[in-house]
Amino acid sequence: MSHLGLWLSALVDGELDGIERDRVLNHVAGCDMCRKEANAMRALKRRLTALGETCAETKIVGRLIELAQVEQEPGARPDARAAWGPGDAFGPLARRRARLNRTGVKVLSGSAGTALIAIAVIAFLLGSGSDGPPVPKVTPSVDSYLLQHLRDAGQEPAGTRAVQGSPGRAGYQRYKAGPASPGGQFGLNLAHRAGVSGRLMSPLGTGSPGPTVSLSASPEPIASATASQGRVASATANPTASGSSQPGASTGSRTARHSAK
Amino acid sequence: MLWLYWRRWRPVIAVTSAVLGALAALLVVADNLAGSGTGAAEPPAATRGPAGPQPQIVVPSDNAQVRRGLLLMSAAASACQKVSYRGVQIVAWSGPRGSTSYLIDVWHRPGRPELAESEKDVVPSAISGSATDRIGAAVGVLTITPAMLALLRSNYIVEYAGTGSSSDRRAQIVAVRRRDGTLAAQYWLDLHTGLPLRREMYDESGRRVSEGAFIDLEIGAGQIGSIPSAEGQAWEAVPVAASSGGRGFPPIAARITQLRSDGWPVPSALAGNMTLASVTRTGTKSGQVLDASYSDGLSVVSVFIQRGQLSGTLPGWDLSRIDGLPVYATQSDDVDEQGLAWSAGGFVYTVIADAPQDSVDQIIVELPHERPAGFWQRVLRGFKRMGSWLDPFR
Repeated sequence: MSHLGLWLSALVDGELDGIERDRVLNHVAGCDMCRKEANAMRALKRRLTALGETCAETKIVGRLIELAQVEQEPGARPDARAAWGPGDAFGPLARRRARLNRTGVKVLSGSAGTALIAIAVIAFLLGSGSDGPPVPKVTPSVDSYLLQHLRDAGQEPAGTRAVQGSPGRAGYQRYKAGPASPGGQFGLNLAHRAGVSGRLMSPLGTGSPGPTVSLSASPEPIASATASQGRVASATANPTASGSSQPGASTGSRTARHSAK
Repeated sequence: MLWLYWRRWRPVIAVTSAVLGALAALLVVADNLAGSGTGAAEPPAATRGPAGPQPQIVVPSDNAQVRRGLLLMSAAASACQKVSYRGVQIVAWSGPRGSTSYLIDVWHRPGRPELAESEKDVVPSAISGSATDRIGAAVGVLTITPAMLALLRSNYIVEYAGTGSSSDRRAQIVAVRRRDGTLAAQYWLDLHTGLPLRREMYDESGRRVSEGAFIDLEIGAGQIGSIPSAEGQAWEAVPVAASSGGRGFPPIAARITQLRSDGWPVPSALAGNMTLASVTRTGTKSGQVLDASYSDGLSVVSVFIQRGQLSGTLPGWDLSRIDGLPVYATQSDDVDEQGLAWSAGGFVYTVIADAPQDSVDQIIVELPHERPAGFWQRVLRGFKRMGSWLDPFR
């Protein structure tokens, strides 16, 4: 069997040129087997050429067509090739060509798939962040916003505390509580200094006054006082028949009375 | 001998080149597709349709009560502008995350806005360790402006509900009902002056969520005493372009149109019948800030919008989540004073509200937020950026 395979037939057919032809010729020059095969192929070519244009017989043409059809059927290829008889030299060439084609398809598919995956990964990594152009980093100026929010509510922020302006506020302090209980009951327990006003807000919530919360420390010592000793800021309601059915109307009459330490 | 197969590999190489060329074309196509707008931010609330069908209006049984209620509320709005007074209000809010209350001093002279003292809380700085003053949002809830009264009438049913007393003063009670008939709020209006003495708000289930009342009230010009000066300057109202506003054209609609054409994502309404009431702006070191104020007649929500992105480090802010959305909240113990901020779509949103917590949560969820990009969205965004590299005109 020739070492060159298809290249030998290409050489005989004169299809090679340049470096390829030189390389093949160099090999043929040093390889007896290939040289003999090349000579045999040239002789065969000459004979075929000498036949000239002959009109193929109908039987031969039909036989060739039949062989071609059999070759296309799976599993029949070995027999079809065997039908070529001594010309089995074309069998390895065809197999090699098919193998080359399969390898090429595999390499092609693998390359394309790898390229697609690589590009998708790169795109995924590049796709982080936001779409828009770079924007400046901002820290909201909440203090300014709070003042403006006050104006949105139809009021105006006071800059400095009036010294004599708010006697009723003395002694009150902020009250904070955690999340409301499931029943929505919690107490609003605001302290007041004895002798100032003694007003307490009614508790929020729909039910009865909820558990009270101990007062936090007051900025100033607060005298012991009970709500009953002072005035109580209460809201009472005497709703009319049409407006008294809602819960708020009835809860407005409740007043929380808590002791303040 | 492998080199001899170069000739047979040429088709493979040609096909590979074709695939790469197709990928390049895909980049260009993706660039065009992504450029058509695949932002991660949710569309502005203003572009959405109504949240749902409007509940059926419940006609009050007695229209005389409604007329009397409206007259009383109109008189209250007028009294808030004409009566001189000084006092101390207590305001309390409750919600799922807790409850809080605060006190404010208020002064009022006829023809002027109510002056409210802003408290200052000492907040430790996370970076320097030094204490900084933070101004509290001591917003009174008893003031009724004409604009709020108009919104109140359009969103609620106002009716007279009886008589009572508050702060040792006789009062007439006005009930504010939702369109489904549930009670939304009650006002105690001073019998003699018409001033609101007390207000209570309720949620749909009837639970009281807010309470505000005078605990000390002096009425009369001679009782005001010294009045502190106002702090800061009001922001500039956003003007309406001459071409966009004609006679009889609603100015607020013209402003919205103008702002949106300038790229500002200002919704015309927020959840809970919150209607855009005013738009103001101011300039800061980091750019212009827009203040869109919304109200339903009872609550006021201010949405501050600024171009940019939240800083990576925000001293004085804590990351929290509202309905799963990451939101930064100011480190204030008082839930009513919290500013809630986040960035989306190239803008920083800061919400400060005097409204029930549930309503505020709904509003925040409705405003634009950055959603985590999906796989294909992220890949498409990457293709867009790669395509921009190939565009010689960029």
